[in-house]
Amino acid sequence: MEQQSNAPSTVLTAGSAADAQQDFKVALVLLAVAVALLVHTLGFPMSGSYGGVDNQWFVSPALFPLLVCGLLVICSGMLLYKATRKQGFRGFGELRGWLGDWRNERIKDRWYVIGLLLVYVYVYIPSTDFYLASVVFLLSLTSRFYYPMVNGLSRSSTLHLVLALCLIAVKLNVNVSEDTHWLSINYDEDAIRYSDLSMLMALMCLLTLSVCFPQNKDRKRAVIQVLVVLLVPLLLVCTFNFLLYVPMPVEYGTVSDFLNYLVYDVLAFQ
Amino acid sequence: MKKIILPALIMASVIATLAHAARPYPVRPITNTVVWSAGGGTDAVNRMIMAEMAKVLDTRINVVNKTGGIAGSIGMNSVLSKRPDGYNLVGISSSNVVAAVNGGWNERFDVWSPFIVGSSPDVISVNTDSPITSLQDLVAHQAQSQQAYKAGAGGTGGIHHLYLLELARVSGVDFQFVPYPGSAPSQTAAITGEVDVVITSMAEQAQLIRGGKLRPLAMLHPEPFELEGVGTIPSAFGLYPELAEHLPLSQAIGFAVHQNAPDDVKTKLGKAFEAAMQSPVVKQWARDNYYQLSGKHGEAARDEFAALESYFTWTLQGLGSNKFSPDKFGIPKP
Amino acid sequence: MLEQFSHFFSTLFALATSPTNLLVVFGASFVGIIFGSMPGLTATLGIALLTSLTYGFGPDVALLALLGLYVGAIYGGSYPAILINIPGTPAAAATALDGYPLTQKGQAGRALGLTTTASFIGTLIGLLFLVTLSPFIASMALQFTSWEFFLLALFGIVISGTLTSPGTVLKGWIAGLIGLFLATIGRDSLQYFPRYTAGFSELDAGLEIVPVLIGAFGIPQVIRVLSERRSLAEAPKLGRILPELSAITRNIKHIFRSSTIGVGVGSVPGIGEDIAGWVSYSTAKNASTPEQQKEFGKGSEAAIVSSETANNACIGGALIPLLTLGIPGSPPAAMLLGALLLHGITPGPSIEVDHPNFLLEVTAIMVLASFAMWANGMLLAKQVVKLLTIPAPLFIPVVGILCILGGYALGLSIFNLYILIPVGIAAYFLGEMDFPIAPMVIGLVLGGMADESLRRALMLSEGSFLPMFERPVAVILLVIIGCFIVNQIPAVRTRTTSFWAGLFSRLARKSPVV
Repeated sequence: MEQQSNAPSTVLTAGSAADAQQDFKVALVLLAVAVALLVHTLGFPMSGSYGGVDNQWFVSPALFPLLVCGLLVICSGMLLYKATRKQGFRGFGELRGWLGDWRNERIKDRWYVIGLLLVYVYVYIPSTDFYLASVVFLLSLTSRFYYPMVNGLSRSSTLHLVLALCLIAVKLNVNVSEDTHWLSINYDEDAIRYSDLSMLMALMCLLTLSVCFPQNKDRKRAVIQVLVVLLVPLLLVCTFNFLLYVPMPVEYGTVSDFLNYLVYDVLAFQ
Repeated sequence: MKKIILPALIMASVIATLAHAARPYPVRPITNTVVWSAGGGTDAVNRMIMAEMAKVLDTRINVVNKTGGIAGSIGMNSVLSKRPDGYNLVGISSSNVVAAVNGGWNERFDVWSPFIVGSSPDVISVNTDSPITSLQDLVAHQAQSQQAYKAGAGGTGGIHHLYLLELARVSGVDFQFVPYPGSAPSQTAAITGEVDVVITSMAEQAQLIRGGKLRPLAMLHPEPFELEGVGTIPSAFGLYPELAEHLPLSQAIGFAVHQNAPDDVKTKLGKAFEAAMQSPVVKQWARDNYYQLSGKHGEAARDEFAALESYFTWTLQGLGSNKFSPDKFGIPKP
Repeated sequence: MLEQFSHFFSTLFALATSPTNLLVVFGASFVGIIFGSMPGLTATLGIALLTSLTYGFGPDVALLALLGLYVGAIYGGSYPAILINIPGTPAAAATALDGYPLTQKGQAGRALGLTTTASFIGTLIGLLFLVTLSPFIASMALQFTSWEFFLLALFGIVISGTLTSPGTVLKGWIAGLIGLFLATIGRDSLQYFPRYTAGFSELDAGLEIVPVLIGAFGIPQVIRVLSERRSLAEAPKLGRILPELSAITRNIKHIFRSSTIGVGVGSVPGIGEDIAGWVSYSTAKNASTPEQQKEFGKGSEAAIVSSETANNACIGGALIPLLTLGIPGSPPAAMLLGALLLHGITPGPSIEVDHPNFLLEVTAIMVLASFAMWANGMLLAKQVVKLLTIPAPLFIPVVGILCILGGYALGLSIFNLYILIPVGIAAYFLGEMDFPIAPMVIGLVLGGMADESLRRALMLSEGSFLPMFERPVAVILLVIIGCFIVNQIPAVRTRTTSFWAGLFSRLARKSPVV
């Protein structure tokens, strides 16, 4: 946020036109969302008795949301008006204006990081061992930004797509119960083993690709990358699990299970 | 590096699946997941009893808090889906029994095998500036003023709210219930004069009564209460014997283990629990904090929770604030 | 009085001369700083963990450890805020606004030196209030009924308009409104009606603030630094970290104002260090001359000093209602109450009867804890700055994992992550379009209180707004809010600032020694 203000404001006129176009879009989206919420909120109970508390307009659960949504409609309307006056509606239909220019490396990287965050949190963490998931996540980022590999973006994206589909398939097909949802945490130990195995295979693929096909060969960087990627998540998992008593999301994941066994049953750590 | 770690991981998966229960329970530290927030009554009771039980069991017991959902449903759900091996306990109170009827989860409370540490009796109080000095005054005063009392208590459907409803039913006093996020804010509201009367437990209120901020009217408990420096607080049961129909519900606080846990684990936990309840530390703590110790576990504790579940859910059904009828879960009427 | 003084110093002396005690307090303060500096590990969680660990110790040692950790954690949150623009705790969110720009200028060391000393002074001033004015402040805090809570929340929301640069005021308001909307998600606490939960029972309790905070500040930073191939800072000058005493004396008026605000906010039950930081930041901005105001958001000394002094002064404030009334003034103080109960100490009006001089003992412990924090800070800061020499493409992915693990660790809930990521991505895009993020966080923090207090107040008054104008504290708050709103109208703003500037210059001429 703040660094924006530090950016040199060259080509002021061109920038402000692009800004107005962006403002126009975001204002329109906000307006649509705010109006939808306002309509939804009107369905809240305005009077009557609920849970033993008498309800009148001033106690209604809709009072505050209506106020907030109403103000949001007004504010985004004002933003829309300002943007329209600066010709912000131009270029509204172009997809590039919404998603960014795909030929730009920075935009590609942006969507790559966002995509990785999404699969990591919504697919990997709830279905597999946290250590394995984190190593894959970390390696995918470092093999793009720290020690880049050849064709990294397309290779890594394909790998993650296959892996994510694989994990979802495992979760929805192995020993499913009625409560199973693709977002819920894996507790079924068979499903966890299958998922961990897929994760391990993906990890090995990625590791091989990154070590064997770098853009610029640099032995030192390769070693640092492998060490950081394998050891830092281990350190984090051990710290949280054994010192802060934070059980990992998938508690019976292969590595977590092994670490628990090693530390408590074998080493008898108390 | 890779050469060492990868085979180790594969070996790990083999060993981890094979190796369990080599030595007798408890080999590992036990995790107790308290479903109410850190610093509250259930949390304090659990931390204290766990520390004592850890000495007996000769292992470490970690107390973590996992709040949220409906009546602690998130914490209970997560513990329920873990291995029923006795390494995962859940810290609960009687307020958790309404989780099912409010849509938090699909279980009856008998999935747990509870251990009840104790409870603190409820007391109804007013601000010290109030002209009201007794329960009789409360009734008489309203007959004159014809105005409903604003009554503060923590959350809708909580135990203090139900006490208020019971009292309103037998005494005929008109209360306007004002919900607060917890007992502490409702007490503060009574001190600032925002509400006229407040119902919370003695454990929560004793300091304010002794400090002259609140004036106790009556105990909502069959026995009067002797409070050091204040004197005897009479029981509302003397004035309204009908209260005994449903009350005393105890505000049961304790912990539970999965009902499917192996019997030897339950026995071992039960023994440790009994030993901990006998320790002078726990007794002193209960005296200092105005708790009445219970010590029920096994069948007795299950019965108590079943009774609480039945009373709570059906009372809320009467108020129309349930999402599902208790019938759906086969909860009998009280 | 004299007797109390001698008791205070004898307690302090006894504590400070025992090597075990010193070890405990330094260790706890160190752990606290680590907790504070890890996004997602909060002071509350730290105290909760330490409560179980210190169960076996005597109450003195346990208190040393707990308060040492508390003070350390509130201070430690400023480290990542300054170094990587991700506040470690909600309390440090305001510090990031000006701390990170300093890092970008290569002055991370100076910023850390400033916060260390400011936090230290803030804690001590908070204590001074605790000892001298606690009965008075406690009685003031008891003037807070639903109306005052509502107005306080409204005040916090109004100040969010001052946290933005003049060009983006409208966007600041929109961000604030989005935050307020996020606060209404969940079952409302008065009628238990589910609002915008889409059937997820995880949403019933509302959004957790810490995951949203991590999402709003941490995730955009991860995306931005990686995709723009940006380095985190100018090569930091690894000189000595100094206490920055001259900067402190320069900003002495900010320090005094901020400590008062910190104590005041802390003593009101239910709100804590995070709000203290924001309120103090914007008050400092409002009280500055137009030239100084331009510095805010670009690495202003006054801004860092204000927010850090206030959040640490808040500790003393939060202890006032805790020790005198048994009502915790902030979330970590609520946990502290649990810990005290566990050790057989029941804070409340009768504590002076049960445990004579307990207040003085706590103060002595706190003095020791703040010294430990200061010493730890001075030693640690230099090492911490070195983190910036790690290449960003290696360091930031690890920060990303830490953010996610931290968001999960709070409440052990994976649902927190499902909230954290969308909030983070939305915050990233909003940030790209010049929307300030801070008002959104303030809106979320205060929205619930505003909503619930307003409706409860109306419920008690049966729909009438009149009681708001009949209560003294409420009227004071109303006047302050009015001043802030009026001050945001440009014409009035230039006039008031010129008035103050004229007044100050006249005063300065009369008394050359400042």
